[in-house]
Amino acid sequence: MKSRTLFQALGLCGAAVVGSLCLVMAPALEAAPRGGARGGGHAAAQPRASSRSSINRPSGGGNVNRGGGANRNVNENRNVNRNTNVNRNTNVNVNRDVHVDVDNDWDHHGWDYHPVATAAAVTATVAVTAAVVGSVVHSVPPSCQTVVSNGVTYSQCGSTWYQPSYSGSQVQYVVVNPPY
Amino acid sequence: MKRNWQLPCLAVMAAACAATPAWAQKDATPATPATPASNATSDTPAVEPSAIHAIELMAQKLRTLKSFTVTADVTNEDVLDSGQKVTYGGIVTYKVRSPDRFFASVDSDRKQRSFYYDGSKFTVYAPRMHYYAQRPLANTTVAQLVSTAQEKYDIDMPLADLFYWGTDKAPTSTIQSATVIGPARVGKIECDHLLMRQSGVDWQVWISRQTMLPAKLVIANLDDPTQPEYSATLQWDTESSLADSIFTFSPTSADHLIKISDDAQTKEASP
Repeated sequence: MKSRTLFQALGLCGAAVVGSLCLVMAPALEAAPRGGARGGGHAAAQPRASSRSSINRPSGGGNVNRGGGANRNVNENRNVNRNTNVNRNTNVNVNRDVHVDVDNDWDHHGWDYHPVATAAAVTATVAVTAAVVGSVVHSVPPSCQTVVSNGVTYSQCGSTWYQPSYSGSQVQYVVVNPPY
Repeated sequence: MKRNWQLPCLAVMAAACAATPAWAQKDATPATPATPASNATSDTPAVEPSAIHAIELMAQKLRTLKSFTVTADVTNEDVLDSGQKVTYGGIVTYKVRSPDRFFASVDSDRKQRSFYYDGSKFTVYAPRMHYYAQRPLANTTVAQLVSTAQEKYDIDMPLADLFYWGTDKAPTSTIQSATVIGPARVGKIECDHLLMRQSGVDWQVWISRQTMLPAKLVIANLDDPTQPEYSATLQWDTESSLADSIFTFSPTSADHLIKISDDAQTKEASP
């Protein structure tokens, strides 16, 4: 009887230890991809939440999704999509990740242009001589030139060509093959 | 036996945070139904019919406007991981002519965008980058346009409620609590100040007593403990006529056409 109680106590204790370990580890596992996605020095500027600019949402389904996580979840989903795009290019290297993440961070604020982000982008562009076709960035250096070829608008940054498009009200730039 | 029915009573009393002696149990029993009601009152204030009525009058007024310009001086907030809030400022302008002419401009610290709808096509324009995108869109009312922009193109029009109130997109039945705070002034405009709660937001509106139009709106997002707020002070012009040219985007040689992805394309692109 006594030993059985002790065994139970140990069992409970073991469960408690495992449970607490899990509790300790879960945030760490969660934090890793987030930290990675944010990319270095700009993590502090990443907002965890934002105000909502309207009360009512157009559809019932949208209401539920946005009501629960609101803007924050929506933004995180967007980040996931972008990361997926990046990951699809299996040859992506570390420099490319830095490039994309930096721009993502500033894009999160809806910034069209920021000197720090642009400087980082320039550095990354220089470091990576050939950008991976299909990767997406959310700002390009101001030195890039708009070129229209066969009715398509490009932004040319040295040897790298981007095709700008709207994603929501945000302009994104997809790296494409040079049109000529 | 006695012990059996005492326990639930004790639980009720504990919930009410009231130490009631055993002799008062008979009084405590009829009080039980009142306990959840009073809890509900403290958690979620009641829906005051007069507050809902004021919202309905404002909504009716908004829907009767045939042509208007509204300029909103807005601030929005970001919450950093540290819990600090950063406030950004901007100006939102809407020019609307019922039923299907729409212009919006959002000019904030971080972003400039214009949106045009001339009854046949919808245009998004970034004035600083000189990029514009267009999509054909026919037979669309202003309220439908605002919801289409959100649902199909993922473009959130700020203060979209101005177009939803008084329609099935903003039924007053979704308001969980409604309180009349009292008379107030926004600038020199005498207003009625109301406080509302619904689906993840607490919002306040100041409705002009003279025009029944909203003079100020504050929306607090309840999803974060710091409740970041969007605030807008609105100025209305319901007199001036609006020319057709306002609603039509005319690109200059410096402007370049780019694509806009809709929801379906975004989903295809993500895997």
